[in-house]
Amino acid sequence: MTDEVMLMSGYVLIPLLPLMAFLTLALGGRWLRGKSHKIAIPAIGLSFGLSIGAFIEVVRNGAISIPLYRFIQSGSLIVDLGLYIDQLTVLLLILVTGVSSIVHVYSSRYMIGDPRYNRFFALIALFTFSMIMLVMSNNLLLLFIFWEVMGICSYLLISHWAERKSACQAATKAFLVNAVADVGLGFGVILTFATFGTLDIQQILAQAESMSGQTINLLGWAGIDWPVHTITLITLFLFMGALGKSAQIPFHVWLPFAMEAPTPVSALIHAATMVNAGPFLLVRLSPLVVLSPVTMTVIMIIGATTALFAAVVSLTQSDIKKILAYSTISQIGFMIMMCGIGAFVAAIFHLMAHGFLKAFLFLSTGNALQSVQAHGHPQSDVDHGPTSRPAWSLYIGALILACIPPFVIFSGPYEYLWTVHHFASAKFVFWVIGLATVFFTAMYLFRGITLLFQGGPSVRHSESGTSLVVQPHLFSPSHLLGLFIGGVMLVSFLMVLWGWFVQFLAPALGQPVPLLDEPTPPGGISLWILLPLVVAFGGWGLAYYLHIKSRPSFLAQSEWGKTLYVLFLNKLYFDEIYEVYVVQPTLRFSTWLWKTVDVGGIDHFITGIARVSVKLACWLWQVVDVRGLDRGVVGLGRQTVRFAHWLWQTVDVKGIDRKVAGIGGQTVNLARWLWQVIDIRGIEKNVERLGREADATGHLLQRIEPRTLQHHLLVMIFWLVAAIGLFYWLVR
Amino acid sequence: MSSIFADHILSWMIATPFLGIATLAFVQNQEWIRRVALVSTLINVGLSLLLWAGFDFTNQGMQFVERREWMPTFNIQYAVGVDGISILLVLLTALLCPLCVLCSWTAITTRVRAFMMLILLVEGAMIVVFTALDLFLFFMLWEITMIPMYFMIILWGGPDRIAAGIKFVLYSLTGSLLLLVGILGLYLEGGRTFDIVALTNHTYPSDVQFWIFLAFFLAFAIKIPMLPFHTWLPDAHAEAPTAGSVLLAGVLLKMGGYGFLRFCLPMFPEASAQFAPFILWLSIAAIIYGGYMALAQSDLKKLIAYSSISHMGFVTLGIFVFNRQGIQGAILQMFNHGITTGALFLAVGQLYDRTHSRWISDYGGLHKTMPRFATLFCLFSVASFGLPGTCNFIGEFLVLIGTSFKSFVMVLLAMGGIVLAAAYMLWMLQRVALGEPNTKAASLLPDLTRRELATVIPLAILVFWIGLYPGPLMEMMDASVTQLLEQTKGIQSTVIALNASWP
Repeated sequence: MTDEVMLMSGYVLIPLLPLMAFLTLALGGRWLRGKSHKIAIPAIGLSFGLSIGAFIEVVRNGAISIPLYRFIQSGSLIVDLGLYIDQLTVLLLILVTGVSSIVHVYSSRYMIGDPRYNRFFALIALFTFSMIMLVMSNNLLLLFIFWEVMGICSYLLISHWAERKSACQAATKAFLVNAVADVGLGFGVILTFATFGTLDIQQILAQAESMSGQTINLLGWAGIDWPVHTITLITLFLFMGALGKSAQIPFHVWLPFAMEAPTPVSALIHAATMVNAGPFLLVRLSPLVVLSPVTMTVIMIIGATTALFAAVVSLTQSDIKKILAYSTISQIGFMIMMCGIGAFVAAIFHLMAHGFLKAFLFLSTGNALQSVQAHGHPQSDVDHGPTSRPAWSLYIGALILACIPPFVIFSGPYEYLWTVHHFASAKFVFWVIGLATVFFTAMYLFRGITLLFQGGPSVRHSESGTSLVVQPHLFSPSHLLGLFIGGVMLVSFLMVLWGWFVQFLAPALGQPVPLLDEPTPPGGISLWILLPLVVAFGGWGLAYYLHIKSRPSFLAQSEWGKTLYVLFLNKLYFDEIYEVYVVQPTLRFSTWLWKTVDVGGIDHFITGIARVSVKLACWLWQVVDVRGLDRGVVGLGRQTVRFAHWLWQTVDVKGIDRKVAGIGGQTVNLARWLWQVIDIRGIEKNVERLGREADATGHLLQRIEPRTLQHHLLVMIFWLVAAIGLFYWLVR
Repeated sequence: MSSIFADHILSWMIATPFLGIATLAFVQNQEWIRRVALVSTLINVGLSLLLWAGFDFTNQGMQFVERREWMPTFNIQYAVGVDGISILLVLLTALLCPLCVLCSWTAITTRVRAFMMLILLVEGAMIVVFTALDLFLFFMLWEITMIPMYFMIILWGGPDRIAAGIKFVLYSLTGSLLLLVGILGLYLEGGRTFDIVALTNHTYPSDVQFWIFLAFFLAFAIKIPMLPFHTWLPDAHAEAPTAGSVLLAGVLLKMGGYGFLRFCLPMFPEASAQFAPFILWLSIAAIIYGGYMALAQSDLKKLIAYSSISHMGFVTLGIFVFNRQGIQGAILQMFNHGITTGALFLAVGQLYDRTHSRWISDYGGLHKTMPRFATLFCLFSVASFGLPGTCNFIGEFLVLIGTSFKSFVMVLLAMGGIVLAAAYMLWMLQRVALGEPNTKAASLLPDLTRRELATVIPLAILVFWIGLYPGPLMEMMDASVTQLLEQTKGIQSTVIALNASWP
């Protein structure tokens, strides 16, 4: 092994360290308890350091690939696991390990005194491991595995406070919604294998171009010709998995409920890292995805819809964590939309920025919540919030968050992308959706933070949308000026960063949009960038205006406004619709199926056969045996007696007796004696007694439980004897 | 290791349980009865590891073969041997039996000796069934496995044990008689021999194949069990004592799958191909149907029992797609199902020992009172629905890959079954392990003891081992599956008209 290879395999430590931390805490957590973070923090920190090392390495020498071991070999299915570190991976690595280290440090204070302190740290270490593996995996199967392991980590962490029923339900819900979506991902993986014959991502991407013409006839079984591009099918199914993890419509319902998790978990998993798996997957497979215009359009539409929808919903929520959750959904919708128009670099840029910022917002919120909770208030519907310094950090974070997506997306190089797939009117629609999302984002962030920190006693009524009160004194002109200068500096910084970013990420992505004839080199900046900024400030201003006026807003005064408000307050009733039309019917159907079909149908039928055979046996015994044969025998006895009687009367007495008169008297006497003693008393009584006894035995048999041991034994022995007899007979 | 020992390792594995039974006859002390039973099962674990160590992965045929004349008149032999398909099941049997003894340590208080003897009897019989190279031997021990199970159910079972026992025996006997008919047919058609290897190499005419396949298929379908023949299973599993459930689910069900692989596929390839579409759809139906059934249950053991039907659907699905991935997946799935479902039954048994209740509603909040138990239970539950990284995933994934060569619609439907599995398992987990205790008793339960931990920890290790590094197991069966595919080559060319013919 050369030195270089040794050095390379050092990067295996990036996932290995969190894994070791997890194993230590999982196996020895009982003894560590309060000291658990002392194991986890160094491990994740080191992992972060190594990620930076990997970053430098990749900047210098390009992608690194580290083979691990052969996972499965079965005929044509060969799965070699390995790590693949390219430009995309290192960025994600820095995000994941960076946010994870911060969250670890933060949690070591935040979770103090928690009875399951060690479990918490073990699980976030495991989560970090699986997310690292997800971004490093060279293989779709490996990606799928850690995709699911992340899901189970999320499940276990959402149910961290398992005493709360709502937390348990949220956990189950999160996993099951994802499970449905992951059918798509899993099926996509299998379809990919069926198409490409390999699961290695780089090999798939290399072959992608050559497969672009292949079609599948979807309705072939019905005799209808409906060819669909294989790649369209694959990417749509893979995208379905991305929808679940990244909480996009229609699978977004789990994320707001996932806020039942401790706040550091919300920051790490449900804002910064795991939910980014969807855009990551799309960018990772971008050379494949761009080959299908259908998929690109679907991605774009779903992303845009989610972005706008979640932004508006976020505006109506009263729980700060739910506001942030919908904000996350909306922002990821934005990323997905960018992927849909081919702006993969922009998506990743936004992903990175959003990841750090959202984690920051959540952690600040956690601080605020903790100080509020110290005053005895629940997490939601915060009132009497402390007016404190964290507020300013939140405001700045919010501003950046509101401006980044538009900044990236409206900057010059990607302007041409608005003419999506030669569909000119789309340009206008996405401009509107993009700007509207920016507007609402600024609005809800302002509102949420204001609610948290400056909410007066009347904030509780904010749910009815009638009165929103805020103390306006915080916004002195100097503050606003500071904010403005800070904003401008940040934007300039981001512009410089962006220029570098586009160059850096290019090798990992391949050709972004093959549909374009002459792609302009990205990196330039146009004045269009100011538009979203203006819109963002506009949203901020409107929120401020609405809050500062302690009178009902114009929306609340009109009927349709109220209807709309209620509609969005209830998130368009997605949860209720799923509950009524999916969950309940499934449960009812399963109960019905069990009671009616399984127990009432199949089981009843088969026990019915048994019952019928028992009845047949009873009937055989009663009718044929007792009534038929037995009576026959008894009757024969009677007939014999009658015949004897007749013989005696007719032949004996009338005929012979008279003829043989001499000995007649004696004979008659003898015959009478014979008849009386032997015939009637003897035979007839015997026969009748036999009948009665048979009856009695029958009753006795009936009284014996047919379930006794002897009975079973008899049955079994009978069968065995029969079987062996049959066997011998046949073999002979 | 002397050569007598090395040459007869299978016979030793068969003899050990019977020697154990003989020893038990002379032991009076209950504690010693348990110990003797444990030691004899552990010896078998050791022997099975030796078997594994001596197993030649590259050899396609039977290994460790032993043959002795038994009833020369009818050409009946005592003949045993293992190949890549059966060795996994032998290992599984050897592995689960000590756990069964351990889990009955305190749970069984009456007639301990009889119970331990029955466990050993099942073990011995199962090993013979999986290794027999003589059909008569196979059939005889196939029958014998039923008897100890029946007594376990009716003597140590739950409240409804008698009915469950009767149902079990009736179903099993029906299957056995069909099997007997099939075996006799095979004997008469295949040149008056019971030698499985010779019978496999024989070629049968189509109509003969059809009828004998039908007899065999029904017998195995009842055992495994497939969809319409499954109703004995929930009752038998639910009413049997823990060890009985573990043996039933872990080992006995596999006789069906083993039968398909050993007899149906190689001996009647044409009939198999003929029946395959029907069986495949039945398997898909079983996967989904079992999922729905499990979702409706409020009884822990019945829930797990119905989940077995769903898992066995994957096994039959994998077997009857006739390709390497499918068959390897099916074998692995049988092994994995033995581990996870066995572990789940052990876990439920541990709860049952504490409260004597199988109802989900009697528990809740166990994460607090029994953290170790909750962790392990959670692990086995998620492994059971095939969470990637655990053992069941590998089997299911391989089966799905195998199925994808036949029909994508089936793959999608089967994946729907996995979602259902996630639903019932997580819902059950939520009601049992999370939340607040529903009853006073549930809030006072003591956590697992060392012995109980020792019962389930080996399985937990296996769950991860196979889930993350299935290579050794796959390698072990590779050569034999190749041979099996060679034998069924006829059906590869036979076009199987499936309803869904898109690629």
